[in-house]
Formats: sequence, C-alpha cells, structure tokens
Amino acid sequence: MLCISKKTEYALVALGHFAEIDGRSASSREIAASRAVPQALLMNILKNLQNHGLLRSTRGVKGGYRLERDLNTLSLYELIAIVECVGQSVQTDCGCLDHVREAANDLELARISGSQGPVQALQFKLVRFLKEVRVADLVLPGHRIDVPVEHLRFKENYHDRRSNHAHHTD
Amino acid sequence: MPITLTESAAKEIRSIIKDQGLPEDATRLRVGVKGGGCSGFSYMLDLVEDAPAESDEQLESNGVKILCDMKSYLYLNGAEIDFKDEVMGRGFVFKNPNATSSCGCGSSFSA
Repeated sequence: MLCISKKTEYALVALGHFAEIDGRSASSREIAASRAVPQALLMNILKNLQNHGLLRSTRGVKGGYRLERDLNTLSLYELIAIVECVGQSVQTDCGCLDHVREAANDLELARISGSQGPVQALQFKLVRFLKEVRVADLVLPGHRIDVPVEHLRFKENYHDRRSNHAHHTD
Repeated sequence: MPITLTESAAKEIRSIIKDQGLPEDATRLRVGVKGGGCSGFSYMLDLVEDAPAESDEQLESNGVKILCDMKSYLYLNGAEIDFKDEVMGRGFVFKNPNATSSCGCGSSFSA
C-alpha cells in the first residue's frame, strides 16, 4: 500500500531546498544543517538523484549539487521509484530503464496483491495517483498545500486553551 | 499590507462555516504561525467565535472576518491565502512574501 518512507521525504526536502536557492549549488552538508536531515543518508540520496539526472554535481570550493530537472515534470511516482530503487536492475538512466522499472513495479504490485482483483485494482489506482502528483506541487511555496482543508475546524475557547498551553509549557 | 483571501479561499471558508453549522456573523478565521518544523514556523488556520483579544489584528477579506495575533502578523503581513482543489488534495496555500525559505517537507518556513 501507499507508504512514503523517510528516504522519499528527505529527497523531497532536498529537492525543495534546490528549488528555492534558484540555480545555486548546495552541498549535502548545507542541506543537512539547514533542514535537519541526517547527512550520511542524504549523501546517498543525492548521489542517487544525480545518477538519475535529477541533480548535477560540480566540483570545487563552491561545488555541490544543483537541480537539473524541472520539478513540474517530475511525478511523485518517478521520485519514489528512484529513491526506493524499485525494480532497478541497470545502473544508468535512459528510456529503457523506465520500462524496466515500470514493468518491475507492475509485477511487484501483482505479487503483493496476489490474485485479488479488487486489491490489485486499488494498487493500480494508487500508482496512477502517484503518477499524477507533481513534485513541484508538494515542495514549492505558493504551490504546495500548507493547511489541508481537513485541518480547518472550529476551535472553542481559543484564548483559554492558548493561555493554558502557555502556562503548562512555562 | 493586510492578509488577504482569494475569492476561492473565502468561498471555501464560508462553505465550511455553513457545513459545520457555525454562526456566519460571529465566526472568524484565525490566521497564525506557530513554532515547529525544520524551518522554524508552520501556518495555522482555525475557525473561532471568541471576541478579538487586544493584541489581535482584525481584518476582513472577501466577506470573511480574519483575526491574527500581533506576533503572527509580523510574519504574515502581506500574505495571500489561496485555495487549491487538486488530485493531491484540497487545502489552503499561503503566498507569503515574508517567508525567506520553506522546508521541502512542506510543514514549515522561516522568515
């Protein structure tokens, strides 16, 4: 079923960082420090994103990684497949790899859901959903949803609860 | 610059107020920021019936009454709140000129 791992979350954090610094390079150290992400894991994730053409690395004092791919053209499905290494049996990125990955995903989905038609149908629907979500809509300020509509609820005695909370945390 | 709601955001808020059976005249939208998240602050939206506090900024945009405490207003002055209804979800989007950076996980920003 649909599950976003920490690796995918950190990849989103990193891509959001690159999108905001407007073409400048950033090192794994810079991102880890400013976004509170473990650097060792982030280094592996960035290397993987570079191998798949999402980032480009530059050497030198001002070196690091920079964004190579327009996040409006990157689906959440593709990012998850890259970060989680789903169905990857070849090293380099090309058109063929996408087919390999997709076919492997479909087989994996079929294996997980067995022969149960409804569950399999749900799996395929989730995959279609992940393919429709653009990474830009998840990470870019002004594009992403900051407050889901489900969070907007009536709060009774707002001031009392705020002052009680402040009292307990003093 | 005040905090503004786009017409679509105001329409959605009026619809939520109606759906929850809240009094349309007395209900206000409280907008704020709170600490937390990897970039410092998160946005908050609540519907309240409380009388405004002395430290609250009182605003109105597209027919929705808005309250914002002074501290939050420092970070939200000039912000526009929009509404999005897309395949990935329904919710409110802050376009905040004071936010100097935001975190990629989408939960917080710094100013």
